Parts: sequence; structure tokens; C-alpha cells
Amino acid sequence: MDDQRLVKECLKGKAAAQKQLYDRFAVPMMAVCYRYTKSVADAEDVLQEGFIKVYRYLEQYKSQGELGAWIRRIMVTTAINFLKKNARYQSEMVFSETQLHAVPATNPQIRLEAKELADLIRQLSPGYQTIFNLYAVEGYSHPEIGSMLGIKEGTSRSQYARARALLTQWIEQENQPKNVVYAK
Amino acid sequence: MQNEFEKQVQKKLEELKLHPSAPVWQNIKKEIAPGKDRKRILFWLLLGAVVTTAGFYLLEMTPAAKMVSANKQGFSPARHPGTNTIVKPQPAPTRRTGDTTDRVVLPAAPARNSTGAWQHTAVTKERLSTDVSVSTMPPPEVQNFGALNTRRKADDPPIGIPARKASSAEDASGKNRTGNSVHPKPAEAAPQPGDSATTLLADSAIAVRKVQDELLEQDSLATPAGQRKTRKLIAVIHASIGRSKLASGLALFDKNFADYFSAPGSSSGFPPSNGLPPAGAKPGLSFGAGLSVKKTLNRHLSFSGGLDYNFYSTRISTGQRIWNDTVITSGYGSVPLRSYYQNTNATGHSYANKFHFISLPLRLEYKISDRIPLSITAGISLQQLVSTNALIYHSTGQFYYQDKKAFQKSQLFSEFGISYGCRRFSLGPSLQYGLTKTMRQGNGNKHLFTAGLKAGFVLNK
Repeated sequence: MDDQRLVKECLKGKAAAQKQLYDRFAVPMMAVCYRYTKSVADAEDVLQEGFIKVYRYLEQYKSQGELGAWIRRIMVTTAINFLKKNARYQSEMVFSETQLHAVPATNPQIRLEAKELADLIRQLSPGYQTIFNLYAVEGYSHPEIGSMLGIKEGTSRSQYARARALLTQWIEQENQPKNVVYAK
Repeated sequence: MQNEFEKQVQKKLEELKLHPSAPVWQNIKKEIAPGKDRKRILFWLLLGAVVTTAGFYLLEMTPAAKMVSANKQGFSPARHPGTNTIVKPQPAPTRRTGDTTDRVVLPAAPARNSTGAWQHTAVTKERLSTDVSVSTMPPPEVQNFGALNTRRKADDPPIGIPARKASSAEDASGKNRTGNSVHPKPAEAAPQPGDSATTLLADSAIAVRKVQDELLEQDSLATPAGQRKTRKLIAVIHASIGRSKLASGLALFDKNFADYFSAPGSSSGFPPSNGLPPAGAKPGLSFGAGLSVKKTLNRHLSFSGGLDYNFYSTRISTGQRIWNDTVITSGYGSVPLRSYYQNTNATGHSYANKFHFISLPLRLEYKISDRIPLSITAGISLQQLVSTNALIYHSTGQFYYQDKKAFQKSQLFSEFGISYGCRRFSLGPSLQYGLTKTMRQGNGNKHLFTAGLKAGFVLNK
């Protein structure tokens, strides 16, 4: 069933279509939510809330681009709102005006598995993690990130530079061969 | 501009597949199930029940219903033994001049017919002389006053039909005083052709007596006091007009309060803001109308419930309306838009944020004193937002947009008022304050507040 027909069936309230919509997009969206949060439980909470909004606002979709992209945007904003409202993340979602950091020129080769890379990103502080996900993974521009998070464009650039620097450093460390001590 | 590193990250993370646990879908299914509309259905069912009940009470108290209940109870004057029925004095009989003498022949003693009903016979006139004359004397309505002094028994003949009594002009033998035989009286049973006027009068008098008899028969069933049932349920229609605004918590008159609707900001793909703060909203027109049923609890206190329509509004100043199909994201999630309004900080067009509510009010009214018709009213009302065009300010993108889902559909309001009553009318100031926040979620503690004048008219005092 193509996206258009699937949406129509869901709007008619057909449970089978609603389940099919969930099955089609739950796995990739869970990965999105996982990257923004610090635990699987939090990721599932965001996924659940996001899909509820998808079904609630589905009548407003109106074929604006791909259905997957539309759902992904809802998941991202749901994740950001979750971080802002959740007490565990609130204190770390403060984006202070720091000294501008230059974006490092290094482009290390990523030899990690997808999950390992995602776990490295999740090791960043929530602020860095969010900005890195929005810029590097979702493809938002710094002005857009600034309006989404309520920060200035310059702050977004600075925070991203710092996050990228940390991440590339960790990736390079992971890329280095492990020192193996041979017994004599 | 993304470089190779970002592209690698994107490509790598596209391979990431994570499966959510089973309870996630179960929870989603529960949320999107039709049962979520149950609250709305229950609200309208309750509303329908209240309106139907109010309608029944109103019908019960209509004048037609009053008359029927009064007839059932039997309206009649109180009867006590020993009183006489009021008798309309009969005009004196007129006699024609001459040698003719008219004699009133009283009807024979009434008898029961085969069905057991009393037979009424007409009063006739017999001419004692050869001249024919017509008596204008109407048949007597009551002849035997003595019979009325005793309580009428069920088996007694209907009052008004006197027992046959030999007149002074007639002796037991049937002869009159002059010794002349009394002519046979076929007319006693049937009216004579010449006596049509008398017959008509007699018939009408008998008809009147019949009605009186029926009422008197019901007299024994009448309520001892013969009182009218006092009305305890009163229907009132009322209307109000005033001004409404947003209030921050209980700070109803805080001039520094930024009284506009705002959403937690986030935007995607919108043009950069112009840096202007939004203009505050100004109070707008509010009015309401409704019907309520009031029950008197005691001399001072009464309780009422009903159905109202309420309209609130605030005024803001917006810039140009931009038509552009897009999706914005905010604290309420993704909202697709067909258009939005620019922010020009009070130098643009005036826009009215309108709210239409249907409400179920419950009020207690306390009458201060019997001498002064002044009452204090306090109550609460459950109000359901049926329609709104209110704009929400997107603080990050700095524009105004519509999102009806951002507002609380069911809101609880408190009411307070003072009214001065004059006959069926009442008039006085009234306040309403929204105990529930106007918006579902978002920054600010915003409540609708209205103040104005309220007038009432009692429908069935």
C-alpha cells in the first residue's frame, strides 16, 4: 500500500492501516529517538508520544513531501520538547554563550557500527548531542536550529563546533588499533 | 555546509535499526482509539439531559398544564353545612292586565329515568282563563330553601329541581282555589307551543344548574383548603454584555501582563524574525445569553441550573496575512499552516480573537433581605469551547498563527454577580473568571476573564 492510500485508510480509522503505518516507520523512528535521548526507555517514550501526534495530525499531512520525512520532523520536535520538559535533561539543555570555536578540519574515517556511532553521539552532553543531531544528521541549518531551540545562530555554530570536535576525537580514538601486549 | 564527515555520519546512521518494545504500540493504540471521544459524547449527552429536563419543567409550569391540574383538583367554593346556595333573585312575575290569571305550575317531583339519572322537567305556565297569555316569569331556580340547610346527600335530587309542592292555588284534589279543575297537564311533560320562550329559559336555567351540580358533586373531592399550589420552579432567561480579557492567574488588572496567547517556540524553515516584540492584547467584547431553571430552597436561598451561550473576545494588532502552505513546529507539535500573520507590534491591522462557548452553569442566589430585592449570585459553569479563531504568537518565529487544538476545550469558570430585582426583571453587575487555563499547555498562566452587566427576566412567576 503506498503512502497516500495508507494515510487515507488511517484517516478512515481502520486499525489495520494504523498498525501498518506504525510497522513501516517505527523502527527508523526509534533510531531517531534513540539518538536524542540517554536511555531506551526515554527513546520509547518519545516514540510513543510522537506517533500519537502523527495520528492526531495525520489529516493535515496533505502530501507535503514524503510521509517518512513528515513523520521524522514530528519525532524530532517531540524529542526536543521531551528534553526541555524532562527534569533530567532540563539543566543540561542550557546553551550558554561560549567562545566561538572553529570547526575542526579533520574528517576521520568512521569505521564504527551504526549503533556504536549512535552511542558515541549519546555520550555528548544533551545540548551538544541535540545540536549535533540537528545539524549533522537531520540537516537543519544553524538559523533553523537557533529558532527551534531558542538560541542565537552563533551559539548554535559554536556548540556544534565543540560537539564535532569531541566526537571526532572519540572516533579517532576508536579507530586506533588497540595496543596488544604480547607475552614474551 | 556539510562536509564529508557529516555525510559519513548520516550514511552510517541510516543503517541503524532499533525495534521498540511491544507495549509502545499498545499504548499508542489506546490513545488513538475512538474511546477518546467518549468524554465529548458524554458531555453532549449530559447537555441534552439537562436541556430535556429543563424543557419538561417548563412544560409542567405552562398555563395549560395549570388549568388541567386545577380541574382535576376540582375548583369550587368551600362548602359548609348550614350555608345556603346563593340564589339569584328572580324578577317578579308580570301579569297581563285583564281578567286573566296566570298560574305557575311547578314541575312534578323529579324522578329517575331508566339509567338512574335525574330527569329535569320544564316549568310550564297554565292559563286559568280563556285568554292566552304568556308568563314572563322565569322558572324558579330554587324553591325549597329548607332543603339547602342540610348537607346534600348523594341520592338527593339535583338542587334546583324543587320537590313538588302543592301551591296555594291548587289543592290536593287537583282543583284550584276557584274550584275549577286544573286542566290536564300534558305540558308538564312537554312544553306547549305557546310557551316556547318559557321553555327556552327553563332549559337554559337547567343547563346552568347541571354545570353547577357537577361542580357541587365534585365539591366533596376538593382540597380542604382550596389552595393553589405554590410555584417552586422558576424559569429565567438572561443576557449579559461586557468586556473580556486575558488574566494572568488572579492578577485581573495587571497592566504589565503580556496578555496574548503564545506557544513554546520552535520553527522550521521560517523567515527570520524582525525582532519586534508582540503587542499586548486589548479587552474585547463579551456577551452571553441563556435559560435557567431556578428552585427556591428557602426564603433567602435559591439554586439554579441551565444552559448558556457565552462569547468572549480580545483584540490584537497583527501585520499582513501571508498565505503560504507550510508546516511549523512548536510546543504543540507539528502544525500545518495555510497562512500566518506577521508581527508588527501594534502598528498593523486589528484582529479579534473570538471564543464561542456552550456552558452549563450552576448558581446559588442569596436574597439579602425581603425588603430590598437585592441578591448575590455565585456559581460555577462548565464551558465547552465550540469554536475559536484565536491567534497564537510563535515566540521564536515571531508571527501569529491559528491552532485550535492548542486551546482547552472544556473549561471551568467561576461566576459572581449582584442583581436588583423589580417584578420580573433583574439587573446587575456580573463577573466570570476561567479557573482552567485557556491553553492546553504552553508558557503563561492565562485565564479568560469577563466583567459586565447581566439582565434577567422571569418567565413564569
